[in-house]
Amino acid sequence: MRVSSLFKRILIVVLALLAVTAVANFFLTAWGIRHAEIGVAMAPRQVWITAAALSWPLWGMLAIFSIVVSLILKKIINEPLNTIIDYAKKLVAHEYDAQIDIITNDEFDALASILQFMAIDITEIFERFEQTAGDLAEKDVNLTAAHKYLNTVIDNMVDGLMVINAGGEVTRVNKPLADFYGITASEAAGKPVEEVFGADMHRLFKQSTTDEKSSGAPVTSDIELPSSMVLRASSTVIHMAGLSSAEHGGNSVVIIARDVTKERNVDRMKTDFISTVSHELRTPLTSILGFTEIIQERLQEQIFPNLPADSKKIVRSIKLIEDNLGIIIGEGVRLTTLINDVLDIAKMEAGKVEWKNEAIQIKDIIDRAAQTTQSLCRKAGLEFIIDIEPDMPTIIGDSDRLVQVAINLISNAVKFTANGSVTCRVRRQGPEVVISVVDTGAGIDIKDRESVFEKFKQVGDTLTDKPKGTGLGLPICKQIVNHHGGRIWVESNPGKGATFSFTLPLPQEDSYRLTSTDLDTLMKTIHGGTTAARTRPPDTSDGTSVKNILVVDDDESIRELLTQELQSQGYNVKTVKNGVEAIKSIKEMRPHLIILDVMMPEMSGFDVAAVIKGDPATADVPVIILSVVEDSARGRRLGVDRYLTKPINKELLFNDIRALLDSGTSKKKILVVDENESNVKTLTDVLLAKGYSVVSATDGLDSIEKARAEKPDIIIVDAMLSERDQLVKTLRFEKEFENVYFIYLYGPGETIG
Amino acid sequence: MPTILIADDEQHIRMLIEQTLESLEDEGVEILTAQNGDDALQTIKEKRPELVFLDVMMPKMNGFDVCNAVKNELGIKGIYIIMLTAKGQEFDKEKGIESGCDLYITKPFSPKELKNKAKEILGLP
Repeated sequence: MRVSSLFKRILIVVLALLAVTAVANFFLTAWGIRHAEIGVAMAPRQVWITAAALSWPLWGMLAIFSIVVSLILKKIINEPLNTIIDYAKKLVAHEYDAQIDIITNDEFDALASILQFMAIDITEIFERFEQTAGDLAEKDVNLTAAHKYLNTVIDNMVDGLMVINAGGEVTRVNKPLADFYGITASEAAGKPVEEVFGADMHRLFKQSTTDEKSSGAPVTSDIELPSSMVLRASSTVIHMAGLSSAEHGGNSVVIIARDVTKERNVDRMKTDFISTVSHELRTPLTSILGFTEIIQERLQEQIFPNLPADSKKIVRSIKLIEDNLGIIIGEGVRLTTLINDVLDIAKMEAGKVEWKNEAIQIKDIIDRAAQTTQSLCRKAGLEFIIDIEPDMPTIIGDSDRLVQVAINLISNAVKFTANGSVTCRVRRQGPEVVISVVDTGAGIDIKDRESVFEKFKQVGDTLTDKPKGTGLGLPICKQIVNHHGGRIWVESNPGKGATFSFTLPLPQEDSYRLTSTDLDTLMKTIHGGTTAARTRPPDTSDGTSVKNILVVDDDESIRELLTQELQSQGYNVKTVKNGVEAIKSIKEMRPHLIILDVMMPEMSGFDVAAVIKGDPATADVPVIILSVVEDSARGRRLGVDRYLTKPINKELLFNDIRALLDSGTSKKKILVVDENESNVKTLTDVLLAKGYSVVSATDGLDSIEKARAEKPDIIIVDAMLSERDQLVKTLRFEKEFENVYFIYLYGPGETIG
Repeated sequence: MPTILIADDEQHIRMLIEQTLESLEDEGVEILTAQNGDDALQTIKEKRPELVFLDVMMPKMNGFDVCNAVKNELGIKGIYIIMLTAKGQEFDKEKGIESGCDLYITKPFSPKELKNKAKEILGLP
């Protein structure tokens, strides 16, 4: 309706214009006809002038009319438009409560109303927005408070906490953990975990990101800090709900670390107690077993043959005596085994076992176990079957301990199998090897399958079935297998036999495998390398070839003894009586070798060693610790080169001194270059176990940098390394690498080229 | 006439070894005993026995020290030393070998084996 009303007005204006034009035309035409009748000869110019002169009133009328029209237009269009513009300006100025009055009842009216409605809407929206903003601010305050509270809680925990992102960088450290390490939380933030918290923590982080996939269980390990504090650290992967690890950039890890130093000390005391007790138990046991055996022998050889054999009573007594002595000896042997096992497991639990790291063929393990248990099987009338998959790769571990596991499982199987067979089966399964002992015996109930690995838990009714063995065999096996990074479990159907299996991790599948002969050859080659390296010109920096030895001991007689002995061997000897003097002298005289006592007042030998080995200027000076304190592991950790115990074994001491002085620097450093990380790890483990210091690199460029920085004595290069030739060429012609010994490592089937 | 020295502070252990080796006396073997490390070292110096059974844990001087003194410091030749110890720990073995002992037997031991070993060392039938 309103639209049409505006049109109506415009229509009126147009019609009026048309009418005026028509009237004007009429007059003009009328004038023109009259003149034509008066004189035809009139010139056309004159006609127009006349016409123009005659039409001015008409133009005047037109002008008046235009003014009228424009006034009308102004009234009906301009004014309402201006009102609307004014209103719109007010809206722009946020005056949403301004009013607009247009009562034209047309489109302007409609526009004005719409604007007003919009203004009302905007006002409402603003009001709502303001309220929301208020709520948000309140929530923000709450959130900040909650965040602060959470931070306070985390910092006030007893345990240390750390978060590591997928890239291995520390993203959060709470106060207790920072305190354990004597740093501040901000010092650690953003740095690689190994840089701040050391290799042990880094290993734990790596383990949980790799192991998580298979087991999902948290990974725990005990970490000893240089301050001799022990932390029990557990690491778990942080799972974000609804996100796969790839979506939030890999797995972050949270590590909780608890100070277990006290518990460790208690553990240590427990172990010491157990060793003492078991030692004390052995002496009376020796008498019991020994004398019983002597009695047995005397009776059998001298008494029984001289007794009348026709008396039934005497014959029966002889038999009983023999049986009873057998029981005493049997039980004595059992008690001995128990003492040995208790000692064994106590040591393992306290981490006091010194594990060997050697290259092992699994077949050798099984063969050795089979040899020991053969007679057991034969006595029990059981068939013993060995079934080993051919071409098993070499593994790294402690062979004696693994043989112990195999013997234990086999003799258990024999013990619980009345007839049938015992099979020892070895299979490769993915990244590990599974060793199973299968029997055809009574089997194990489902409820007992976990508990058989617990201490002193034996399967079956112990009242009717007298338990055989100590109840510690399987827990010991579990400790050994766990140490090697494997698992142990049992599968069984009661009545149909049991299968005890354990796994040992293999070097990665895609890598070529180092066989034991490879390792042996490598070791020999390395040995050759170090001997060759020894032919370097002697150190003549001091103008003589006489070596200076610094003796650090608080005991005057030991200082005197060592001085005499060492001088007789042609060495220059200087002695000091405590750690402080020692460090001063080392800096002044730069000795070729240091002999260090541990138990000294003020500063212990371990502390002195830590200072010497921690200072790059003195780290390469060989250190021999000579002490009554038996803690070679601690010495090794500090980088001590030899650990000898008092009383002094001269021969051994002189040999070590000669060896260390001949090799010049403290330890042979070896750089291992291989693109395959698992090979690097295997080699590193073996070399470390052999007492070398190892640096590794996985590509050519990295290895050149490492070689320049670390100056190794030997470089072992994977023959298949793509940048091999470049690496060798680059280093061979650099002056300081003239004497470096290069060893190429060939995989099976690769030829020497 | 071959001589054997038994050095142990435990009377029963001394008796046990003595009785074990009793039959060797018929072959002309002389058996001596010592109750502590000092005694043992003194006896070794004076009597130069061919075979010594040496306990580790003894008062006055322990077995390692006695062995070390005999083998390394005094350099006495022609003595076979068997260490007897109650501890079956690895470092003890190492210590034993460092001290220069010839054999290392853990308690409890079997008398029969001990006798056979002694016969073998002394070259008796």
